[in-house]
Amino acid sequence: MNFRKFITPVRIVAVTVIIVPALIRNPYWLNLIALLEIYILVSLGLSLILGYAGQALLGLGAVYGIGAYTSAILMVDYSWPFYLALLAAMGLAGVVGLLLSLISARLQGFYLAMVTIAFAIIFERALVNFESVSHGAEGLVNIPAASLGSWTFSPTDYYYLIAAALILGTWMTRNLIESDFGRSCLAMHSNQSTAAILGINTSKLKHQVFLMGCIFAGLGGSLYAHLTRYVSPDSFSLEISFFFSLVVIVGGMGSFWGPFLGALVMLLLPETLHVFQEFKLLVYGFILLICIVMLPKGLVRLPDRFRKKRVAGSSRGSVSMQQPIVAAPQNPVKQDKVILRVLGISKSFGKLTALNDVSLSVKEGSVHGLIGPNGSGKTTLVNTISSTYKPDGGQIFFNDRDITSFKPHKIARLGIGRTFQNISVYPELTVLDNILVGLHNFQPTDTLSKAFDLPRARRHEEKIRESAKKLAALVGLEAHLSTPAEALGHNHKRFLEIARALGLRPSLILLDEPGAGLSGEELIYLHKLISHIRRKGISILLIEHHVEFVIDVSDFITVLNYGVKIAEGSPAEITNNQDVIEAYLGIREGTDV
Amino acid sequence: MFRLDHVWLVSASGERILKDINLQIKAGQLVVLLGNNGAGKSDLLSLISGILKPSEGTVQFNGHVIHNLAPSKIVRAGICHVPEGRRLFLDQTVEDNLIMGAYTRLFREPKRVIYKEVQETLEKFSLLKEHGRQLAGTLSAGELQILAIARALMAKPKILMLDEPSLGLAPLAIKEVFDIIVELKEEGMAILLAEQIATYAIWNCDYGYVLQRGRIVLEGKRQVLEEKSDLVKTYLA
Amino acid sequence: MTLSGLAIGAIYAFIALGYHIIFTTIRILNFAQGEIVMLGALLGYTFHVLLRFPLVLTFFCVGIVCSILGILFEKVAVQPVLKSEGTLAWIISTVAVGIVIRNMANSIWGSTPLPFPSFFSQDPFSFMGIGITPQAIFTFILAMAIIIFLAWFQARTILGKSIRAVAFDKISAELVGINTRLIITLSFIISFCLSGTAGILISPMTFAYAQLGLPLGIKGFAAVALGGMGSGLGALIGGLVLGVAETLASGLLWSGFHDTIALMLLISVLLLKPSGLFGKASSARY
Repeated sequence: MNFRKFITPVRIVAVTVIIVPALIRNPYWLNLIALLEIYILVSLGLSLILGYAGQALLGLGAVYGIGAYTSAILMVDYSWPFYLALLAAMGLAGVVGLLLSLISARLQGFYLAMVTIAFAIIFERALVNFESVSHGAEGLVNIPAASLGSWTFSPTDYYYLIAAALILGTWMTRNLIESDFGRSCLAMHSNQSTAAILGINTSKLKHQVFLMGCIFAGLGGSLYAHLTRYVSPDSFSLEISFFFSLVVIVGGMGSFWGPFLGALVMLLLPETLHVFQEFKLLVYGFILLICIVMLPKGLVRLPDRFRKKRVAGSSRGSVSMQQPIVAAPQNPVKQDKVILRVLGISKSFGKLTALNDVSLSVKEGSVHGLIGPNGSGKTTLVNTISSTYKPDGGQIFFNDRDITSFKPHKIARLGIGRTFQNISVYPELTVLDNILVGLHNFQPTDTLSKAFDLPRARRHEEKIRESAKKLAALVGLEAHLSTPAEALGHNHKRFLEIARALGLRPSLILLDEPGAGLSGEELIYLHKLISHIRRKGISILLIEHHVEFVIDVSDFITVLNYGVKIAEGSPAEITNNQDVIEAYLGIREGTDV
Repeated sequence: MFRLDHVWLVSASGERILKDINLQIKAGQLVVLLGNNGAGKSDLLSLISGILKPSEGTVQFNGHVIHNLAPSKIVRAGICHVPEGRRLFLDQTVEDNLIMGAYTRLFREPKRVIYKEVQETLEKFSLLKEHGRQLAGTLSAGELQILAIARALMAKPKILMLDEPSLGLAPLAIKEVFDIIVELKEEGMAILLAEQIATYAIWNCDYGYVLQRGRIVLEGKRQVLEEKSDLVKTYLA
Repeated sequence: MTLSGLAIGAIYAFIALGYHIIFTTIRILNFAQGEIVMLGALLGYTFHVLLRFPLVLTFFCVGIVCSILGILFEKVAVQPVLKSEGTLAWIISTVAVGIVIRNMANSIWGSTPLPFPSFFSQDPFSFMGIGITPQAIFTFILAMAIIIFLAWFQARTILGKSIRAVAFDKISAELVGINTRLIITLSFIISFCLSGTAGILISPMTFAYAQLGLPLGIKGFAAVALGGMGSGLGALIGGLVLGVAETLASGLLWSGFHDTIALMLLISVLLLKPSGLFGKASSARY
C-alpha cells in the first residue's frame, strides 16, 4: 500500500549511488563509477534534448568540453575557487545551449545533426589551435582537486559530490518529464506542427530544453575535469559526442531509465570485455547497428519483446454512450456576433489553385458546416485558419482581431482549437496524456516550478488531471485512460482528438471530418457531442462528407467546389440548391441521364 | 478474368477501410466504381495495383493470385493504375513520360518499335501532339490526364484502372477524357473506373458497384443502376 | 592558385554528388559517405602502390569494391532502418557503419598517412602567366568529364530516367513498372563509386589514412548543402565554390583553421537559406 509510494525512481537512484562507496573500496572501480555517474548526468541532459524533444543535437561533446575546459582554465590560470569555476562552467554551457537552440529553430533533422557535428569538430580544432587560451594539444595538467575554502575534497568526498549532482539532476529530470514540460516535448517530437496548433510555443520550449540539457552537460564536464585532473583535446573529440548520443538512443529515447541503461551498457561493457579494449569503437558501432535493427526503441523496451504487447482493454468496438451530454445547461442568448471572419482567402501550391477568394463568417455559438467534393479546398481553408499555411491573399479575423499572420500556437492560445482529417493523436502517449497535452495551457505554471516540484506545480498538475478525466468521460474514454493512443480503435481516436482539442478551452473549434469512418450509432453520438459543445457556447466550424449529418447538425452551411465558394445558406436552402447538387452528382435536375 | 474475393483492408491505426469486397471484371467490360470521398475507391484501386496489401481476401488475375506481388510485377502482369492526381513525372518531357510508360516492354522489345509507338500515340491524342518535347509540368490539367492515360496504355495493359479522371478538370476536358475511355472500351480493353460524379460514369458502363464507407451497398448492370439512380444519388450524397 | 582550388572543388563536387544521389532517391543523408572516400584512397594505395596495378586498373578495381560495398550497405544499414518510424534511426545507423569502417580501416592499414604518387609530375608549368600542375588539370578535367557523363546518363538513358522517376515519385515509378528496390541499390552503387574515385583523386594531395573520411565527409556535405540537397547542379557548384574558397582562405588565415572554412561557410549558409543556393523553399510555414 503506502510502501509502494516510497519506492520512486529517484529514490532508487539516490540509494544506489549513495551506498556504492560502502560496497566498493577499490579506488579504480570507485573512480569508474564516478565517471559513469558523470556520463549519466550528461546523458540525462541530452535525453531531454534528443530523447524527449527530438532535437538532433549530436555534438553535445563540445558543450561537455566547454564545461570541462572553462572550469579547468579558471582554476589553473586564474586561480578561481572551485565552486565559482563550476558555476561559470555551467553558465557558459547554458549560453552555448541557448545559441544552439537558436540554430535549431532554423534547422531540423539531419541539417541540425550535421551542423552540431561540425560545431563539435570546430571546437576540437579550436582547442588545439588557440594555444594561448587552451594550452593546445597538451591540454591542462594538474588541475586542482575540488575544494571549498581551505578544505580539499578527498576522492571519496568528491564521489559524494558527484553523486549529489546526479541525484539532483535525476530529480529535476523526473519532475520535468512527469509534468507538462515532458509531455509538450514528446508532443513536439512526435509532430511539431500539431504541437504548435495545440498551443505549444515550440521555440520557447526548445530554448528551455537546450538550456537545461546543456547546463547538465557543462556541470558534467566541470566535474570530469576535477575527477581526472587532466583535460586535453583528445577527450573532447567527436567520439565523446557520438558516445552520448548512443547512450540516449541505445538506452531508449523518451524514457527515464534509458540514459541509465544506455550508459551502463556503453561504458561498462567494453570495460569488462577487456579483449575489446583496442576495438572499443568498433564494438560501439556494432552494438548500434544491432540495436537499431532489433530494438529500434531502445534497451528500455527489451521487456516488451518477451511480454506480448497486448494492452488490456484495447478498444475496438463502439464508443460507450454517456448520458451526461443531455443534461448540459443551455447557454445564454445567442447574439448575431461573428466570431470568425474569413475574407477573400486565396492559396496556391505552384500551379494548383487550392483556394480562390473564399470568404465566410461563423456566427458565435453556431455550428457552421463546410462541405464540398473531394479537392474543393476545405482542409486547405482550415489549415490556413489555424496558420499551418500562409495564405497568398486575404485576411482572417477572430473576434474582430486580424490573426492572418499569427503563429499557430498563438492562435491556439487565443481560443481556436482543431481536430485533423488524418488522425493526429500522439500514438505513444496514453489517452490521459494526450488530453493533458491539450490542457497544458490552462493556467500554466513556469518551468522552474515544475523542475523543482514546487507546490503550485503540483496543484496545477492535479487540477488538469481532474479536467482531463472529465473530458475523457465526455467522449466515453474514461475506462481507457492508461491505454496508449495507438492501441485505440479508429473511432475512439477520433473522439480522443476532440477531447484533446477541448482542453484548450476554445471559443471556436475546427472539426475536420470528425465523422470519417464512424458507424451510424457513433455518428449519433457525435451529433450529441457537437450539440453539447455548442450549448456550452463554443462555436464550431465543421467539415464533413456525410452531407445528411452536416445538414442535420448545422445552423448554416458554406459549400466549396474547386477552391471557390459556390453556395451558402441554411441547410434547407442548400439541399435545394442546383449548383450544389450538380457539384456532387454531376447531374442537373431535368437533364436526361 | 479478374476477381476480388472477400477482401478486407484494415489500416495500421485500426480503421476498417474496405469491408468484404467481392468484385469481378471480364474482358472488354467497363466497370464503374462509384462512391463519395472516403468511401474507399482509391484504396481499392491501390490494393489491386499492389501499393496496399489486403488484410484478408484474395485478388486473382487469370487464375493467378496477385495480391502479394510488388506493384512493378503487377504492372508486368498487365494491370495499369492511373492514380488520383495522375502522378506523372513532371520533371521529364511528355515523350519521356510515354517512354517510361512502356518500361515493362523496354528490355524485351527493340527500342525503335517503342519510339515509333510513342510518335503514334502523340498523333492519336491530338491534345498532346504539339507538346512532345515539353516538360510535363507545363501542361494543363486536362492534358495531364490524357497524358496519364496514354502513358498507362504504353504498357499494353489488359486492365486499365482510372481513379477519378475527372478530378480538377473543366467540363470540356472531362468530355474529351470520357470520349477516349469509351473508345478504349469499344476497342476491347477492360476498364475499372472509379468516380464520384455519377453521370458520365453510369452512361457507358457495363456493370457498376456503389461503395459506401468501405462496403459495396449496390451493384448491377447499367440498366439496374439507371433505374435506381435516385438510390445511387442518396449513397453519393 | 584558383585553378588548383577548382581541382579540389571538383573532388568535393564528387563527394557532394555522392550525397545528392542517395538523397534524391530515398531522402536520407549518408553519414558514412566520407568513409567511402577514405576507403577509395586506401584501396587505391593498396592496388596502385603495393600491388603495382596501373592507374586505370586501379580505378576499375576500386569501382568494383565500392559497388559491392554499396549493395551491402543498402541491405544492411538502410533497408531495415527505413521501416522503423523514428526519424533519427537512419542517422545513427549510417553513423555506426561509418565508425565501423573507420576503425576497420585503422586496424588494417594503420594510422600513418600513406603516400600516394601524383599521376603526373608535380612540376608546375606556366600557362597564361599562372602556375599550375598537370595533376591539378588532370584531376579537374577527369572530374568534370565524369560529372558531365552522369548528367548525360540521367537525361538520356532509360536507367538514368528511371532514377529520376524514382527520385521524383516512388509510387508513380512503381506504377509504371519500375523496380524501385533495384533502382535504389543502383543509386547506392553510383554514389559509392563516385566517392571511391574521389578518394583516389584526392590522395596525391592529402595522402591516404583512416581519419581522412571525417573531414572530407563534412566538406562534401557542406558542398551539397550549400548548393541545395535536391539539385545535382547545386552539388557541382557548391563543391567548386568550396574548393576555391578554401584555397583562397588558406593563404589568408593561419593553416590550422583552413579546413574549418567549409564548416563556417556551411553554418552561415544554412542559417540564412536552409534550402541552399539552388534549393526550393517549402510552402508550409512550420
